[in-house]
Amino acid sequence: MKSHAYNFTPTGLVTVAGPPFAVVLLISGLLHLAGIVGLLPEPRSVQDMDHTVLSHQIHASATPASIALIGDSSCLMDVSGRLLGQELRRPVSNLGTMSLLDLTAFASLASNAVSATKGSATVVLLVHPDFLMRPTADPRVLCDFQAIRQGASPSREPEVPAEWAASILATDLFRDSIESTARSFPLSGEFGRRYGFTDQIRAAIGRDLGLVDPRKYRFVRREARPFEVSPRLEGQFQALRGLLPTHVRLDVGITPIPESEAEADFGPRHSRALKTVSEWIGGDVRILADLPAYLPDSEFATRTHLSEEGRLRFTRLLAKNLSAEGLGR
Amino acid sequence: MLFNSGTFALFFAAFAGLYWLVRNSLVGRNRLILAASWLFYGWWDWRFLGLLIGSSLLDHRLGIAVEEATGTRRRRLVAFSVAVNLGLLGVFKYTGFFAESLAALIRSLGGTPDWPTLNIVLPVGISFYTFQSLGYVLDIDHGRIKACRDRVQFLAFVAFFPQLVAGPIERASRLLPQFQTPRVITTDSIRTGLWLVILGLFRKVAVADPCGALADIAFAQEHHTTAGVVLGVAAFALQIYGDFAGYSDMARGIARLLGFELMENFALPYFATGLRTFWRRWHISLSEWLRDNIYIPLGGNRFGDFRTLRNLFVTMAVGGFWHGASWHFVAWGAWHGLALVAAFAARPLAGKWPAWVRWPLVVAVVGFGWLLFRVPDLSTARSMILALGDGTAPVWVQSACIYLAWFSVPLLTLDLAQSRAGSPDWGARLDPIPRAGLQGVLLFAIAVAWKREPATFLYFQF
Repeated sequence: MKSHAYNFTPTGLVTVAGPPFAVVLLISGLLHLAGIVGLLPEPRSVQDMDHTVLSHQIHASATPASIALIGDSSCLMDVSGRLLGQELRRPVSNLGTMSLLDLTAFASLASNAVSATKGSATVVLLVHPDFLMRPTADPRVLCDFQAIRQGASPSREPEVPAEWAASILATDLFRDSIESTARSFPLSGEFGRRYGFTDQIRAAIGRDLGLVDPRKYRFVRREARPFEVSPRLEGQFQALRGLLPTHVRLDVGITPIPESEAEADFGPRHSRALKTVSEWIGGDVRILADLPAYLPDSEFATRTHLSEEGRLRFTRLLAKNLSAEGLGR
Repeated sequence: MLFNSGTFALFFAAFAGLYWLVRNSLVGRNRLILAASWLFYGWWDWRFLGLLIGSSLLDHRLGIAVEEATGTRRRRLVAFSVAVNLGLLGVFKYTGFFAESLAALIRSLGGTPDWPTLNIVLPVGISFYTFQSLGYVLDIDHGRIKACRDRVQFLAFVAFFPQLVAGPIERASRLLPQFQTPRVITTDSIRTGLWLVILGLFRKVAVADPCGALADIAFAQEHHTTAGVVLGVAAFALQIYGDFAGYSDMARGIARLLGFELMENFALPYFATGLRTFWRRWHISLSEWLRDNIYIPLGGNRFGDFRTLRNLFVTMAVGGFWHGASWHFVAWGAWHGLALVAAFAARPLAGKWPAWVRWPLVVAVVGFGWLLFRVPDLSTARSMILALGDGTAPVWVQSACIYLAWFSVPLLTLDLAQSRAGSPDWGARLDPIPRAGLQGVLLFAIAVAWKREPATFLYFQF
């Protein structure tokens, strides 16, 4: 017994299913064309937290500040630039980023800030021990960083089929140029709960010159790697110093880790790491040796970021250290 | 395997090829549908396939036995089917809930409950296929249909993959005969099927999932605000509608591409100007199931106003509990039950009100219901309800308003067009150029919103 019949021709099928896909290609083609002739709004990298922070900090680096903080996410999350500025009575700019950049990227942000500043300027590099142990940055993030600096969409060579499709269909172009101009993007998890949307992240960094990590730290036992600075960073540290004008003072510090994650010899290793960095940079670098290597677990949001209370304490400690080094009141 | 995933696209492409090969064998077609449906279901968790197969086989046997039996034996067989099907739901869906509720009661009386926490995994779609299978036995008992003697046909009817995990809960009288007769796939069925798939994907991927992100933020707030609660409820209302109606559209579209016809499960519910009308337009297959198997057997509206109101309330409360083993779902069902009772009582007065007065009232009642539905627990519901009166707004209010408008306006525009056209197939009935333009724009919007990790459907948890 016959079960089902196909009462149509192949031509009929193409006539029904083909045109909508042809329209998709037409829209994609028009978007590509509009992008080429410059009809689309300037791309805004605000679709997630990392890109929003990166984009904000690149723009913020053009703001004059006598003290420019640069570094990884621990610099952004562990320091309230506003409080630091109040403590030191100097304009501060916190250019810490969320993404896995390298020291030369940090240096280019600092270099922007220094050029925008009249008079003496100090650059303070703050990084987490994890950063110092990691030999390389994420090349994709570096690619995004360069693209955003040049005012372009953070597009890169597609690697997986979905990225190829987004590139060919111009959906990434639509998101970066049109959707990002029209609306903000919601954040997920605890950051969504605290900040809401990417626009509020930008506003918060602008207001507080730093961000609060709203999560709650819980100790998880993991295989401990002894803290040692990756030798591959030597060249990067030298490049960092080389990118900054000679009259600019450079201070370097390491952000703390939770007490329960600090091995018995973490203190000596921490001091040794600072000494190594100091030797690599050489000359006039000042080491913030009195910053705590670790703090109580209760002052952490994650193993790499302090909590709201912890960052206030650390900011004051940083201010004290910088004052002792001749900055501030 | 989700409809909004590349895996399903590959699965369906392979299935369509095999489906073409078996076009000359009714038995072969039904066997293929059954095998594909079991593969589709087993993709989530193969261990629960046994549950699906076992309960379907039992209901198949019971259907025949009920038809052949009379009197007490027949009643016992029906009661056995009800007990087994609801028992399965009870074990997998409600055991943990009752154990926790009993423990809370004992603790409130000063006792110490002494049993381990139960973490029973809920088999996906169990509420849907259980009701469909049970409905078949009840329909035979009520003389609405004849028992199906062909086991493969019946198993394919219960497991039919387009509607297996989230409905529509099909009545055997509608769907089962379609497994017994040849189907014809025409250019028109392809055109309308494709339209429904595109519309469903758009509702799910380009509306429901983004709105869900806003609802997540609003409902997770530590300190709720008036505007935050209102925006969160609005976002969730769009999310659950886009998600569930989108799934139903895709289910109907996929079935139609195979020559099958599934019932309409959503008929522009947010345009309803009465609460009863809302329930005739929202999750229609469940509303009909509850009406035929709970409301009418309880007496319906045949025994005076008091019994009618009681029956309405009980039916809605059961409907709420069907959705999930949690007190906030019970509260949601009870809220709608009370609202229906109030609407029934106010009929002589409210019936004369113009639509522009009734519509906002329905939206408010339904919206308040969604608050109860979406909260994780009743204490959160309490703090959100209290926040409604304080006149405050979160810092993200402006971003949220723009965001909501960005996603809701296209959805409501499509619904308005459907309302004017009077048919869910309207997008397939347009002239060729506007049809291609509309479907192309929707496809592009889907591509923009597409996520590599597809979001699951809300109703899979029920």
